[in-house]
Amino acid sequence: MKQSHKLTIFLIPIGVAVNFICGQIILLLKLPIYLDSIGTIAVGALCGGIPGAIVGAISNILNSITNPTNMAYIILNVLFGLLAGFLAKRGVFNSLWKTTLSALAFAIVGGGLGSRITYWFFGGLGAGTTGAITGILMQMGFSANTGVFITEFFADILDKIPTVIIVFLILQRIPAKTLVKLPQGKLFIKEKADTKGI
Amino acid sequence: MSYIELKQVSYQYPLASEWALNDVTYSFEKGKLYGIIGANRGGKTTLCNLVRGFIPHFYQGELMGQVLIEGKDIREWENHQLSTEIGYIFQNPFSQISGVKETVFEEIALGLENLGVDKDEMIERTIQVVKWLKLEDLIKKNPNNLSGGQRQRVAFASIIVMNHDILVIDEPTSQLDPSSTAEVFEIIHMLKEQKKTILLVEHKVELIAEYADEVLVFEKGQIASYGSPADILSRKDLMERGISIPSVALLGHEMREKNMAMDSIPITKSQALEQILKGGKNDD
Amino acid sequence: MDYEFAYSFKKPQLTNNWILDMNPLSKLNLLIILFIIPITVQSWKWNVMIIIFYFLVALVAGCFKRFTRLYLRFGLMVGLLLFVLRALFIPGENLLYKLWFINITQEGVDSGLQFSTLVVAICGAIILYSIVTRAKDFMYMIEKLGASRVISYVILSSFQSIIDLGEMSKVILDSQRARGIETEGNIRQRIKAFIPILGPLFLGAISNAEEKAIAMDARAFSMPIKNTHLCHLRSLPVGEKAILIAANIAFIGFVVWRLMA
Repeated sequence: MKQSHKLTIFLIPIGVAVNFICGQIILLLKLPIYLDSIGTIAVGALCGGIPGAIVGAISNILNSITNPTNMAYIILNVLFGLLAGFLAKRGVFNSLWKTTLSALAFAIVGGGLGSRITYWFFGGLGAGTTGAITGILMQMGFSANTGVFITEFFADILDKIPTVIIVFLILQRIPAKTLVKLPQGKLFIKEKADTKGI
Repeated sequence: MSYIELKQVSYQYPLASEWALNDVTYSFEKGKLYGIIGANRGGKTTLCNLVRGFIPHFYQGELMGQVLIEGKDIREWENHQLSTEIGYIFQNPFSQISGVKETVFEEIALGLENLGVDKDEMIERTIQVVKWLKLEDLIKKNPNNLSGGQRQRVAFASIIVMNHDILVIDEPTSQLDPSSTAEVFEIIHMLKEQKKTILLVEHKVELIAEYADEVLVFEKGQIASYGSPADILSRKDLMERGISIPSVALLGHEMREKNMAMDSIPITKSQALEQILKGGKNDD
Repeated sequence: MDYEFAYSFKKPQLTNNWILDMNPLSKLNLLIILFIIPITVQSWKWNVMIIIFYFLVALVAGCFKRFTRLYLRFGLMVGLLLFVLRALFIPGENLLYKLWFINITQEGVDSGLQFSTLVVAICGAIILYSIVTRAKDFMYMIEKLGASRVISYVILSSFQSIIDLGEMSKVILDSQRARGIETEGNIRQRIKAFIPILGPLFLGAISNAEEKAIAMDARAFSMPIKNTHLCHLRSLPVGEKAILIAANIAFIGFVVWRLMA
């Protein structure tokens, strides 16, 4: 409805900020992961694929101000948002084990397609620790193509498992009165509404 | 003439098990200041949301009865029309700053930009409000770096500049310190003098006693009592229902219990002073 | 009352620096040209020249320090790494140095030099653009091209939300530490600390967003008419137009010449 559409406009900046702040908290807690798509996936799940994709795109562009090579990967952030919206509709984020499994889907995009992008744009040797590991794999006899896929897929799955679990935990905690105002929020209040009865 | 009319209005928020408003009927007249008091969750904010049309335009849920604004049912008003008719000032000073403007001057003008007012008029109207609310020192500052009290004054300016006839003001001082509270009430006083129709939710009953023309007491989604401030705010039984009354009124009751002569229970300091002085003279 | 400030909005927003005052779309046009040149030329010498040119532009624009800080960090973190990775790992015939199982070859070094200067040159255009263009001016032009104010609002408030949520996260972090949540211990404890920080942050932000949605509505954000602007940019001066036309013609000529050669 129109009103839920309205709240979405104000949640997109929040999603972008969450993507950034998670990165900062990770730095503070000195954790070896990125977790920079929590906002994208959460907004995608709550408001739908398109708002999620917008969060991903804006986050990517803002990130690109300090490191423009990120821009090559903008499509990944867009796809994360779309995928989150789609998976939420299928009820994936309503159970912990389905959510955990969904990390695989995100890693196929992030690691699979991401490694293609690294290969096309950077010949496999992107800037970052994954680039170094790919380089070592290449020296060990793997082709650039395989090397980059192996490293990026595994790096991504390590990042996406905690990401989706955190998103799951957050979605669980959003109060029902807020969920009713979000386009896909009703997907997450099914049980609570049932227990309330009529 | 009644300006805002509620006819047997009941409303339930989505998923809520209780009615936030339960069979409320009341008429608000043009040019008066209505003080709305009551315990938390009594229905005060719901009333505000309803009068401004956030219910049903933003909040879903079940609405029964009729809300008429200038004779027209709230459901028939377009949401954007209401934003030109009724101003709304909120409790939280922090969520009222847009976050997209770099100076207070631009922040105040934002509503006029949205209304499509042309630049020259926009500047004049903004200057006028800045002078009126004495915000001269703030206009160049970044609104995102202001204190709560400053933000609340900017929030008032941002709404006042749009020049609504009706203003809904929902607990504007609950998050402010005493000196900011006084500044906000000075603004409300000026608005009253401009003959705006004002619905003011406020816990600080001393201020309601000072400024309100009518007082409504909300309890469990219903109007438990209404009437002039002198009638309502002098009632001791409100205390038992969790609603405070001005301390001078309490004093008045105690004096009466001690058999001191009182024409009426005072609700403001000046009334109390008058009574006490009179009492003193009677003793002579 | 500072009338001078209030009436300054009648005039276009100018800083009196001709690069900063250039229209955001003109700057975009020129920097796209600088973005494409390294790709068509494929020579590290050209790349280095363009990189030096960026520094000059930043100097003239009066943003030398800000630009240099950002660009150097990018150059060192990304550019240098891209070079080293290629120098170390690209196989080739002419061995320069052998380090355990790593063979450093002339081909690797050449490719590294070529590629890293290319990436740094291209990315320099983007970094420079972000430094010499204010987001609100850019969004103003996008609105002038017909975009809705909602788009401007979403982009501009994203910047502010990052600042606001950053401050909120610090407050939450401190209060959770005070309540005894371990943020320093081993990796498991640190991962566990993440949720009690992010949970309240996200939920608080959502409830703020709700309030902001209706607060903005009260300020006629949902009016179905075209909004006006308190701040405006000047219309394109003739000189700027001439520069743009000349630059674009020269660029097209240059590309055609490279393709012929």
